[in-house]
Amino acid sequence: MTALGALAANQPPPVGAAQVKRGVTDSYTNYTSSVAYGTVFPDGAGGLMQISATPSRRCYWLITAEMIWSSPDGQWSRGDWAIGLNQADLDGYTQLGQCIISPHSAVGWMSYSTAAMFRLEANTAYVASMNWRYSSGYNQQFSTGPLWHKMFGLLLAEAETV
Amino acid sequence: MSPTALGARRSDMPLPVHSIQRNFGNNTGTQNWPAAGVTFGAGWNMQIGVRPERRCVWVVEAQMILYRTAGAWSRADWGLYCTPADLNGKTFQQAANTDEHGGNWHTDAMSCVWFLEANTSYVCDMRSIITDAAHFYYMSYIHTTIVGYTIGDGVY
Repeated sequence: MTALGALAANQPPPVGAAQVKRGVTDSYTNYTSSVAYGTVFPDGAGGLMQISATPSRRCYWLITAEMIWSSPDGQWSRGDWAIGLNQADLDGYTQLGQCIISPHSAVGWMSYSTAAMFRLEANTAYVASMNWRYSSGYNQQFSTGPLWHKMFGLLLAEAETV
Repeated sequence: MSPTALGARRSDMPLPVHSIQRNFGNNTGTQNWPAAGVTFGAGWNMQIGVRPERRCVWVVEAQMILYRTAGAWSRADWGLYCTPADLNGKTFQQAANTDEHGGNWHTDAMSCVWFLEANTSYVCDMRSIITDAAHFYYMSYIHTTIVGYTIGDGVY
């Protein structure tokens, strides 16, 4: 912690906190309609794709996430994933940015990204995760490699939200 | 927001320097792909606006879900427009979608960065660029959103 008086007057103050989570190693798992709604995605090394924050003031939390998906099946199918919160934000949201993927074995790997912006209460511990929502059938598969499996968070406009 | 003297703020807390904009789809469901130049939302207008007090960078993230009727491939494009043009003269960025996908819904997302002049009112909207009668999109808070924040206010 640095007192404001010690900061240069001609530079912007350092504000906001950032959170970063990347996949660790490549692994592949088939996700299907039998995988439970809300299952948090793995990072390939025993961990989970999630970030956490306990803001000291009310603020917004912008989270962006990216994955690559494919399917071993020669059929178009649908799979849904989203960014979820462990508890409702100040607007009652527990999930935002539900991303729908549509893979086919003939297409190969494709990137998908999403963004969510939650409004957080002060002094409250939040966990945001990339998690599974839905399959229309067949198999959907993603890689946990660090180049394409990632989520970033930013605390924004701290204390300016009502 | 009323200006607050720095002296009235705690020295162990971050200063509020960003401004935030959010617009979530209004849950009206499936919509026809609009004509080129028309803002998405079927009247709801998927757009955000800001009037910064200092020059700043405006980061915008937008996404939607869309599908094309199964049986043939075709293209439908959309973009993020900044009105008026930013300080670099930029007015839009474009995303291209050539789809069949068996008629399945899928997400398309894009982000952009605008460089804004102080004391100027800006709007950023999600707008059709290439229309296609076989394409559709969906309005809901969880699938179709545009959010933005300013950063680096006064640095440039």
